[in-house]
Amino acid sequence: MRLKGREKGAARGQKRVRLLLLGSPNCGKSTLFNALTGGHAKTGNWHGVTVGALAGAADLAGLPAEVVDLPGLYSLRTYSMEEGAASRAAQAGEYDLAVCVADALTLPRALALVRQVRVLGRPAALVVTMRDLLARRGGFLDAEGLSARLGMPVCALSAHRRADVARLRTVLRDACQRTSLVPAAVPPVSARAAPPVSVAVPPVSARAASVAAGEGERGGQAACVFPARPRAARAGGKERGVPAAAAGEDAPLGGEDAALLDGVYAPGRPPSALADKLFLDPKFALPLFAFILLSVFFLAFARGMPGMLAKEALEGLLAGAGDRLAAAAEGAGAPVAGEFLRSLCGSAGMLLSFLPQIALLELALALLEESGLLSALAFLTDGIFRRVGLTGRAAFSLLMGFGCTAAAILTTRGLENKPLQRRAIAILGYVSCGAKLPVYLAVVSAFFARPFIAVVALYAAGVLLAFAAALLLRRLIPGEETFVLELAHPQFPRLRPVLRSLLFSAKQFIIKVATVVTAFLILLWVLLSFDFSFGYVGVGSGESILARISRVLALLFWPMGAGKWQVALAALSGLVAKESVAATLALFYGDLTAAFTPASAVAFLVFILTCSPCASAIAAAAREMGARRALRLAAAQTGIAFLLSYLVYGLLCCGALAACVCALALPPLIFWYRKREHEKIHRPKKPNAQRLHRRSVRPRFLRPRPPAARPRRAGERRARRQKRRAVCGRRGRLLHDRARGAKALLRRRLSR
Amino acid sequence: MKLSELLPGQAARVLRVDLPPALQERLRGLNVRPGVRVRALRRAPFGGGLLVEAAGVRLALRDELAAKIEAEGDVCD
Repeated sequence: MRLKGREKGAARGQKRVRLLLLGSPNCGKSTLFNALTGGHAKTGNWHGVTVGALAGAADLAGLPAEVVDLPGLYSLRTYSMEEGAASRAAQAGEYDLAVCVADALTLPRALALVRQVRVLGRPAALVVTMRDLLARRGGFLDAEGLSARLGMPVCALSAHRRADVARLRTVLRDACQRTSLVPAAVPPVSARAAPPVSVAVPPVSARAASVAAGEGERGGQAACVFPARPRAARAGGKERGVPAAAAGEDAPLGGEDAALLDGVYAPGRPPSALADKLFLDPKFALPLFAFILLSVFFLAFARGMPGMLAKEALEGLLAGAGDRLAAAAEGAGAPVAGEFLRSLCGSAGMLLSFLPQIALLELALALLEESGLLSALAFLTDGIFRRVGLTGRAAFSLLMGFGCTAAAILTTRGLENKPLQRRAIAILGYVSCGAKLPVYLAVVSAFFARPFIAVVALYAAGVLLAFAAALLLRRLIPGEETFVLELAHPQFPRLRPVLRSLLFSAKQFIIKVATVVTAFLILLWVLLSFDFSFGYVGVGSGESILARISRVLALLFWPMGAGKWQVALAALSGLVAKESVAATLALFYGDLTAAFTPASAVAFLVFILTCSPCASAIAAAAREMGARRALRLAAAQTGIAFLLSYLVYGLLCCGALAACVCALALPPLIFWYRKREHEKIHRPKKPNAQRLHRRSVRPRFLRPRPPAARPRRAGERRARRQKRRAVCGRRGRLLHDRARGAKALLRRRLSR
Repeated sequence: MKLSELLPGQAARVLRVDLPPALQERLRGLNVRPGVRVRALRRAPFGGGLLVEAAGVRLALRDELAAKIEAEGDVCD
């Protein structure tokens, strides 16, 4: 479809029309984009999946078009970073049709954005997605009626239905063609005196812009009928004294929107809230999540489980194929080529055999994303993240980090501000990505009787390290964190998007192994098989080019008990892609016990766990926070990784000595800590001041912030007949207990 | 009263939002604006935030933010 559209356009010599998809987060823009263009934009049931603009060619029932998928935004006045990009794209005005996307369940809210887009004075259309969900809730939407009231084309659809998408193509084509006929009625944005690009900058320019917006409304009124507009314009003029946000086209929900939607839209009844309740109940959702993670790990890594079985079968298959190829080459009289093929097939085949296990992990992630459990998880874990200076939104990035660090780094754009994003990127290196999995498994299965437990321990250690790093980084990169997050509607994961994302990630993995890693392996083989005078010496010889170079590097690995140059080379190759660590090791060793002792194997695993992520992740980090910062971060991570692995090796090798040192060092440390003065805080409580003793007033990891002094007294409360409420910051548990006449710990949910 | 003082199940009408303009704008996009009735649904564990529902939108709010939203209390269900 896509290619056909392109060819047609080229044949007719038409200019492709440019469509922008604008809408609030999680309303289905990317799904719509995929449906229109056949593209592979990432989708998921949480807010902030798309973080960058993505363009694709589409065929609008004969009209060639370019569709641009933008990150979601609630309003053109922006809040977070990725919203800014979308807002700028909308206000730059380089498009032919702005397609406002709204989901049918929260349509009233989306109208504010529709209104802001109209004010830009460019042609616009409204697409309402999730029609099927609305119907299931018993709601209805009269698209034609709404279209007449709004004065713009409106199309309601469900993006998973082909017939609906075909109808949308026609509607969009008609909208494009109609608007191209009447360009004079709507003045282009650039022609106006005050460009609305500055709307985002409060407060003075925003006021000017709102005035300009008022003018724009009056200018645009010639083109279409819109009953509620004059009132909006008047409100904009009247409320000029109040903050910019309150003025203009953005009246509170109720009057205007209700009038607009009256009779054409009903939201229906929300479905049984059981899923909602369960997902948001910490006692159910957190164990469920832990269970999902553990069972995925178990299915993938435990012996005799599907993941392991599939891996072994695939490994045998690929090894057989490689051997046959090599034998054929040797039979044809080319022993060097045979050796080359054998080592290449051995390494690349070993990597490819991890596909089933990686696919299982990806499947779990895709299911989590589609179900909407992820945003519930962000809400439930915000308390934990807050203690380490992050927000619940970081849960998205951390979970994505189990798939691919580079992709996870991109999702950090959804975080609230730059310092927060930098902290999140820094800790993402410790969340083991899917590419580290082959390395872990290769090393672990050679040294551990129960690889499953060892791998789980490695993953858990990574997450704990990430939290520790976040705690540390809060001091190093100070910055406020705020947390506002809309929760997604939970739904039963649909099969098609899940399979789609699963197949896509499997394809990506195969492509990566077939291109980057194989190219690197070929280069490695060449550098390993020839010495400086380009004479063939054979892989594994100590005289080759790389062997000499990496022998210097091996000095760094000596303190962790892995002083062989092959190991150093393997660790270095992790910079290209983490998979190649395992591939390089497989190139040299059939059995890894020749390379490591058990203690040094653990130290090497710790090194792989904590060292800097691969080049593509560093590049992603550089895009987000600047090349210098990214390089500094990678260097710091690698340095810390060396130190940690030395420490682990030291502990494993001379544990008794280390224990003695710790035993000697601990008492003075404890003594020193205990001797510090208590701080005394006074806070007013009832008529008497209350004195609290604290080491420090600052909130720390284990202690929530101290209860804030209450401004209101008991007498006032009594006068207003108010009950005493939960104290902010204390988990809402400390309540006044009338029987005791004092505060007491009560249950979180009060019985009525 | 402040929005952060709501117990699960209680509702209140928003009177004033004392937050930086950018945050105010985000909350406005999520229906938390003066005049809207907001209902607290749940408190997060581990000292996390508050889950509220505002005109059909469910959103998570940290206590620090909720404490800066002035509301008119006791619109109990």
